[in-house]
Amino acid sequence: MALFRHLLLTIFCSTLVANQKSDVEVQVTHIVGDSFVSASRNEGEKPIPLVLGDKFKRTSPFAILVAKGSYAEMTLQTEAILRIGQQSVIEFRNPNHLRIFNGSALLLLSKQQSLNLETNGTKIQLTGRGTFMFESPKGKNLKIIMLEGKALLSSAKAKQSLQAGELVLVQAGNPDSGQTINVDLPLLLATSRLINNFSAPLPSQSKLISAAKVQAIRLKKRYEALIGNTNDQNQLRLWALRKEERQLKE
Amino acid sequence: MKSQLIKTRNNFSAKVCSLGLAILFCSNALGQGKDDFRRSELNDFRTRNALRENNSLENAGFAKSDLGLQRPVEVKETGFGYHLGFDTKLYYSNNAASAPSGIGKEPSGIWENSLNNHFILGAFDLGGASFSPILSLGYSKFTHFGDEIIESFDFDTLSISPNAFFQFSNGWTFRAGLGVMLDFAPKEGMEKTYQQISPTLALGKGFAIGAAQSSWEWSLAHHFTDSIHPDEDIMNRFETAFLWSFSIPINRLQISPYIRFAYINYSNQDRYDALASLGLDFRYSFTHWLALNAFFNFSFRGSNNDDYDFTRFDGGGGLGLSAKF
Repeated sequence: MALFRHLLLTIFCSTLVANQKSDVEVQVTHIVGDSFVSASRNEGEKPIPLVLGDKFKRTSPFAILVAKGSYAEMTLQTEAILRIGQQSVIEFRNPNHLRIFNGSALLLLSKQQSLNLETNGTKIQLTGRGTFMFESPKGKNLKIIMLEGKALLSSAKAKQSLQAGELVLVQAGNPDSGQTINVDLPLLLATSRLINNFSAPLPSQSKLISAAKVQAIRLKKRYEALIGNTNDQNQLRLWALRKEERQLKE
Repeated sequence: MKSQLIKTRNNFSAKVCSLGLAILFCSNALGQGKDDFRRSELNDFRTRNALRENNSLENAGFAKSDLGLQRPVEVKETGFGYHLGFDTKLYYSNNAASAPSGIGKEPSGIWENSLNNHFILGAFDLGGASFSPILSLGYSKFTHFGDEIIESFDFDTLSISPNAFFQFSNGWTFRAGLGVMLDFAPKEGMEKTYQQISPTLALGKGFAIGAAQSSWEWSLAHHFTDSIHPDEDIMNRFETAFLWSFSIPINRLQISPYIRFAYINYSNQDRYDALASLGLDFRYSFTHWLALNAFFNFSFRGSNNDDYDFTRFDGGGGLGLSAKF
């Protein structure tokens, strides 16, 4: 809870400079554990627990907080589906502008849409259709993985397209989009809780699987490593796979 | 004494001739053996399944995380791929001509050498299904040994098979293809003895049972044929078949039982057959490119015309070399 209080204060401070207000409609479609909605402008208001089936309209900015071991899924008025992972705090600046203070999420854009994603140090616009995940463990660097569909990432200085299976790390303080790395989609889909920990499959499930099948046919080489988070020097950590883990997979 | 020897020789020659005629009659003229289940069909089926199994989402064997494990990979731009395989097999057949009981039913040793090429002409995401055009090209040489007449039964087969292969997310597959098969007699100056062009539609499904992979395919095909029989298209036929195959990996060993049932209706004959094949393949891989294999296959056919009934057992083994690019 200390982390939450700290994050709420951060949200409060950051929203003082946010000047765009709009209504965001949210319907809660899946809840595991504890999740809250917090209108961070009003210091006196306590975070309100999210309940399955809740349908509410909030004036932005407000934040969704998901506790440790908890998960939440919601449908937005744009027909987008947002799944938020554990220990995450995501603020809605408006229906198309999300600020990630901490954690990870999956977003399904069923129709062409533009979305602003922001952390402390990164600001990027994603335009496209499809399913992608993003993560910012410390609220600074932003990792985006496209699972199916196509998107165009635009930062202050660069534009780059993102296709299924591509991971991009947007580094805090670096206006360039960052290097793209292909990741093993079948493995990612099989091991992601944001995909597998929910009672109903995503509406884009068949597209996810066909994207994974296509990637598997196009596969040239699997590297004996796993991508981790960034280190203090903002570099991606790579973990070498042990021999027994390789045998398990191959 | 001399006349007795001549008589014996004449009897032997007569027997050899009648046996030869019977086998040739059975194998070439009426095309028995041509409409059997051929292992090349099973190999193509397994190659296509390998494409499906290569991306199995089950049993990844790794711990889960919110985002999932991110393993870097290198992918091709379009997915063009080439699989090359060479197999050499030595086996015994109790009925090499797939003849009914009687004089044509002769055992034989068979040495089969096959060169198989599979060109995967890309992989395309259709948004819920994937599409892969696959061109298979194979050349097989069947050398018979044992009896003098059986040796004359040698034949080579050239097969070309373009297929449009669709995979759906729930494990279903759909295939539309054209199979072209040509048989030649190497001991007759590579005379073409049989030709078959087969437009085919097939529906299949693959699934995992523990560590084992299973897949079945139900196919509909019409074979347009041309043989050396006076009625060149006498073997034209409609065929519907159900093939079910398992692949059970145990370390380096792969055990693959299969079963195939087919119903065949001949367009230019008053004839319909039921054909069944049961088999068991063992494959021991020393490396990614070298494997030792053994196989057993039992086939039988029941026809409305008893002349076409047969039972056949094949068993043997060999070496396989393969490469993927």
